[in-house]
Amino acid sequence: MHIPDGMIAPQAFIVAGLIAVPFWVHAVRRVARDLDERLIPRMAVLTALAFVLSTVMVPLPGGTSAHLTGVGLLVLAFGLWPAFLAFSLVLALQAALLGAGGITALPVNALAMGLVGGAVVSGAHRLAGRKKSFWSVLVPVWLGVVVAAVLLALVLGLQPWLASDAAGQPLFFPFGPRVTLPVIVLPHLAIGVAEGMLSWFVVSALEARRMPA
Amino acid sequence: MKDRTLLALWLVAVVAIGFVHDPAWLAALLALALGLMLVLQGGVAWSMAARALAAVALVNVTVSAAYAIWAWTAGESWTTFVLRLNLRVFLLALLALWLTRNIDLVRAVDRWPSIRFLVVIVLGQIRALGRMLAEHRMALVSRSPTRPSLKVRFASAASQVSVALEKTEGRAEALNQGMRARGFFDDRA
Repeated sequence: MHIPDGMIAPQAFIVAGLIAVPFWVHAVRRVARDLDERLIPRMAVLTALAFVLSTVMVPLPGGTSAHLTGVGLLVLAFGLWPAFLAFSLVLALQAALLGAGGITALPVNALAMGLVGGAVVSGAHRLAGRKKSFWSVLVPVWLGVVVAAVLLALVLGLQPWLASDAAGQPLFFPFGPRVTLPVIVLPHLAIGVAEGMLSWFVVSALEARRMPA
Repeated sequence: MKDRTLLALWLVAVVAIGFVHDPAWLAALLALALGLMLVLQGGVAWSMAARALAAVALVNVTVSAAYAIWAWTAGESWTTFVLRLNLRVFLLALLALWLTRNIDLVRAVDRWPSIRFLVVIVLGQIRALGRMLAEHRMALVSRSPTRPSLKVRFASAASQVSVALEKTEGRAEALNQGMRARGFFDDRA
């Protein structure tokens, strides 16, 4: 789902970076307070987990598949702030180790998918009474995926308005929200269902083995 | 030092390229980058360029073609935008591949011990967890004479993820105890 380098204007990624920094600082403090000296090993293993989760394919009907984002599962299993930190670290590692995603787009991706998407999953799951039933896992994860997709579509859709040359030609991504919203959000309505179902499968399997998730 | 400089140079270059909008300048920067890579890496530079091109082709061709069709039907010019977008994204992808090939991330962050430890453990755990998931996938392939059904693929993906989640708990605790036993936390106190 995430935006690659070269598609968003410096005005967007610099502002996103300025917004993201206090959240990263807050997340580090919260996680450090809860984990104390266990912070480094715990965050390292969580980050590795988030990285490998992104390599798991979510099967879709018709023989196709999509990559798992894993944010919903991480939030359900470990809470919002550790999940947000781990997901942000994964985006940085993917950019620096694999050349995937983008380093300039990292704050936008981390905020939309890790923070807002994660907060939606956490809030909706709390509203559902933190139950492990099918609907109280599927709906929060689906909402998290869809809200993150809407946000990313809006950020991309804002680019022609944020940056264009004297002739009116866009400097970065060229299409507005009327194009980006349906193109990005519609497939994620299905991907969100698949990710929500997979999350429920996992939560049920862990519950059956009596592991808290 | 070399790795830290490379990382810093890449970060500065990636941000700076976002402020260059003239296709001629972007083409000159791309030629400069390719020329430097040819001098420093030899013929490998061409395979890196091919990989970068393959990595960006799908998104760039889709966006460029859609924009060209829209501009053509609206009677507007599209060449400057298409050149600008493709040159910039290709240049950024090429620089990212060049970085991943040449940088040792652990050495690049060795000035900050906490981050270095984090990176070292993350890289090791990615390998360990990645190998475990790869074995799960190979096991599914080996016991499926025909293409597995959607239900079976779902169950396999769920099993991969739940095993990874279970292992995470144990590994974090084992790592913590190992680091404590070796005095890591005492050194930092």
